[in-house]
Amino acid sequence: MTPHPSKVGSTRRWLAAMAARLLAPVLATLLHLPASAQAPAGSAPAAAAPAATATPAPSTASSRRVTKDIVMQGDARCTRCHNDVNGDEVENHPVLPIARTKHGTRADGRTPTCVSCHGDSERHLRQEGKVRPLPDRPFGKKMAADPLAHNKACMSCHEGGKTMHWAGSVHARRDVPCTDCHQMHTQHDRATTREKVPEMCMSCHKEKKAQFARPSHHPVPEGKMVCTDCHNPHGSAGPKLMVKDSVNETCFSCHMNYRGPFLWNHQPVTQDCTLCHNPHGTVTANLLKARPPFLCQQCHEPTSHRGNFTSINGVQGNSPPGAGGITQARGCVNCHSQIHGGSNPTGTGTQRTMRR
Amino acid sequence: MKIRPFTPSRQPAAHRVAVACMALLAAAAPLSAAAQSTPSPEATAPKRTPDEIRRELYTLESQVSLGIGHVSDDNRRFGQNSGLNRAGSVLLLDIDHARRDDTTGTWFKLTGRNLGLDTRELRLVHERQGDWAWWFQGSQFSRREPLVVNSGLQGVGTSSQVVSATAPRQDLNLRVDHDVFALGVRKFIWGGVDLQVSFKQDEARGSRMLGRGTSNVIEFLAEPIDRITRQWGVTASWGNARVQLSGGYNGSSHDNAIPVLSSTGGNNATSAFGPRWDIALPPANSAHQWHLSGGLNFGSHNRIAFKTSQTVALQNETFDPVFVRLAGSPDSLNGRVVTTLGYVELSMRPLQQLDLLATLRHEDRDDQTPEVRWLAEAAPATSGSFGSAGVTGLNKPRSLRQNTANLELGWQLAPGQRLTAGVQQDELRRNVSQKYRRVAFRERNDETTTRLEFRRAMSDVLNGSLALQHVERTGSDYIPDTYDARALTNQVNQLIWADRSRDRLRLSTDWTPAEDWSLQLLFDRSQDHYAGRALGPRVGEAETLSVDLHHRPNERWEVTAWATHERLHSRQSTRSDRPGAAAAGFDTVWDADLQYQTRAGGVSVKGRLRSGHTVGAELSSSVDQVRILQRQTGGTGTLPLPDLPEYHSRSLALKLHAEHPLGPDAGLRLELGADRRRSNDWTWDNWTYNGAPAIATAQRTSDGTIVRLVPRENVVFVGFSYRLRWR
Repeated sequence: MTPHPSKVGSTRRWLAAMAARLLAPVLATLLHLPASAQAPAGSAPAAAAPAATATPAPSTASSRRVTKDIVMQGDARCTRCHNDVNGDEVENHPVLPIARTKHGTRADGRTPTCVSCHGDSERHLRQEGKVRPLPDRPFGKKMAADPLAHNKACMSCHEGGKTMHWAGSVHARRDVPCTDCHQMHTQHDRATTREKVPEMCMSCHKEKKAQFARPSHHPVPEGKMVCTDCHNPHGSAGPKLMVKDSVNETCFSCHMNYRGPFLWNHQPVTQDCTLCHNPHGTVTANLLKARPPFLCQQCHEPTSHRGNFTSINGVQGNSPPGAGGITQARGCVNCHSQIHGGSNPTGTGTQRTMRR
Repeated sequence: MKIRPFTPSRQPAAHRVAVACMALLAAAAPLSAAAQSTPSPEATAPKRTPDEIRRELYTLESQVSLGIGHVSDDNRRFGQNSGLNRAGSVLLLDIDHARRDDTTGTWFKLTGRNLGLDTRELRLVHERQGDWAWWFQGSQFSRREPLVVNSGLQGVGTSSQVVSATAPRQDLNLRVDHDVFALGVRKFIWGGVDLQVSFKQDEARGSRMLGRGTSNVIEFLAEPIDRITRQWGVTASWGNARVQLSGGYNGSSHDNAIPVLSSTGGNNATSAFGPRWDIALPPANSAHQWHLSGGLNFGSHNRIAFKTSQTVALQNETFDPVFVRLAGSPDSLNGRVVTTLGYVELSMRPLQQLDLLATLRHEDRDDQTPEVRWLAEAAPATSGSFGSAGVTGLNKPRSLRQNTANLELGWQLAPGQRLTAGVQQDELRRNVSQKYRRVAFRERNDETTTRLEFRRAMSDVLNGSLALQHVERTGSDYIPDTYDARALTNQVNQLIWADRSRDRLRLSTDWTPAEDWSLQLLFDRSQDHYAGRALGPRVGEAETLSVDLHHRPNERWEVTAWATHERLHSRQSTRSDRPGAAAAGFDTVWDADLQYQTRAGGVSVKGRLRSGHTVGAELSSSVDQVRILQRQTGGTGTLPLPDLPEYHSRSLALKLHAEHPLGPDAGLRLELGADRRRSNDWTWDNWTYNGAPAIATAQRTSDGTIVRLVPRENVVFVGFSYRLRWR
């Protein structure tokens, strides 16, 4: 039997309203939310927004009225058009949410104005032809012609610290604009929101997306690591934009147990971890570039068992050749388990060869 | 230590998923229906005054998401790192809370991710912008072994393990759990000096796969993990538009509570491992670094920047008493490595059309660890086999010095056209012990890289670039194996320092035919040729082709599609034994052809319906194929040399999500994920840990350990959550 539709509707609305009423205060109490979270939006207490200041608009033909700054100091020259407040225009890319960002925090006297980043843009303001010229620095797809000038606008404040070596970075040299990654006019800049960083980087570094889909990978797809844990996209004194000064120093910041120095050092470990590992992903376990023994045979001498060819008969061993399956299981590290370096000082050859 | 038997779920996966979905849908039905009858947020929102909107602009958004998720099946790979590895329900809880006092510019941010899982993360930041800040971060994550290990090994997770063929075998749930916390403070002092202090600790506990092997006997062990790594640092930075300086100290340490793994049982009885087999696990170490970097802007487009640092890495852990050392040898390594870095970069624009970058980098890793005899010296053997006494009983400190000089010139040919040319010179110098070596060595490598790139904006909507690169690596004369002059080690072109010639081409285009369409194409190909000696790597190739399509028909909808094909190929040569010393028929010179191919792609759609619902779907697929060919190219060997079976790994994932608005500040979110993985990797097929043919069968014992890759894995995840936003 089907209940009367209007009855169903009212019951469901009541259930929904009850659920919302029950959940919202509980969560708000637990999280010490402001009262505005519990009250209707229209009754929110006045936020401590800076008092709107009156700014005469530039005396141009198109703007003779006096307007108020909305967010930034002196923004009236821009927000008299670029605003969603008066409903004059519908912004495809709203600019006013910059109020919720660090750039829009006016209590910090270092924060910029619209003109600091976009330039005076007088031609844009005047619009003498039918088509309005772009601002001096539009920061959009049309800006490719002069990324240096655009990045300079950012660097005029942000140079130093993590961006100390921006000018020498491959991103700067390839004219990558800051705004290819960073979003200025939103509270949630994707470049500083951890879970969005990999997708952002892989929009250009496409091969990495496929590599991270391989069976052995750092947990980037799972969100436990992001590209910027290892790379500083703003440049560094190391290769490959490493956050530390070298590949190994970067790897050792997590895998410190392999730093050594060891009693029995393995030469490639001391030189570069990426000689054996591809940190982005491989089909061989433990991020190995090739499966043992082939990886090991790229350096090691064929004497004794080390040049043996392989089969997969499931029987391990290394002699005679052909009978052994040393590419199975853990391959060479079945025995040479301390391959990153041995620390056993006692007196037989198994220590030196990193077996124990 | 967390070792739990792996207990697969009893109910069929499809049944459990169906029940879970029905339950969720039943629970959601009233709310969903109520919401359907709720007008869209745009329609219900009262008309706001400009002042209200202005206030709202300054009020930060926060949100919390609370719900329940259900994983359909126990799995090994889908949840390996995400905490979703067990069938059953999980709590879904995420939070983003942000507040700002606009009069002082003081921020408070609380971010929590996966708070209901064992991969939870919590971060708290409190700062007064441009004045002070403090932050705290805590997180947990686990790395689970994707393979199923069934073993009777006793003492897993401890430093004393017994290999046993008679003990009841069980599936070991090998995992390493990390508990991480970090905190830091920041304060601007003395007229703009930015002072930052930070500390981070990562505590890891658990077990992972290991093994022991000698004399053709291999047995399973599990490495016990109980270690703490810490990093701390103090940095002071200062700068203005012209000059910037930054300097400070970084320290780090690694402590291992289990420095030795002792094992008995198993083939100890056959004397393969002696009465007890002690493995020295990575010892404690520490490092201390002082660094200084800076930059100076001069002229309108010129800058010079530098960095210098010195790091002292120490490893002086006292050897465990279980190790009976050679008489007279010290009780610790007294390891000390001093790494000095110097880096300078100069970027200039001497002409409007010409810019240049010049960098110099010097890194000197000076291993000052004393060279000591640890193993008794014995006469070098000539049989081609190692002497058990260890004739190379001296430790070998490894020093490495790298110098790199790079010069790159960019010329703006015309608006939108740029030509870049660069040359880089790398020099590597290694120390070489004049005592015993078992690998032929090269003291020095020189590598010259030349590159040319042309980029052109062919129109407002089409950009392209073509880059060519040539790398030539040579080196000093090989220093031969001193242990056995006849050894084949003197014929190997080691990958790490072989003569190598590399050519690379990279082509990319970015086409935006319309504001709402973009297409990107990337082709990258490189080829390596090795020369100089008969054995070792011969050829390497890598090729990538990638296409990305992005379409945004309007502000509410977005479609992306991508496909990548990557191919790697290398060929290397080796020899199964030394001529004249090989057993009859075993002297074979052979090549291995390693071929890897990855095909991956995906398509995703996300958008917002007019009713206010947000929806999204993503389908992604990845296929990895591996072929290994083996060919005899010389020698007198007569044994067959078959190719290894081709194997693959495939994954297919579908993710769907939909959010149903319940007014302007709340919503219900439904997530559905289906993950399918297949693999026929034979790495562990038929593998049993036991003695090898060199030991008579009657003497061999098997510990009975079996390791298994789960060839097929299907997992469905359903999540249902309530999301509340507030300002």
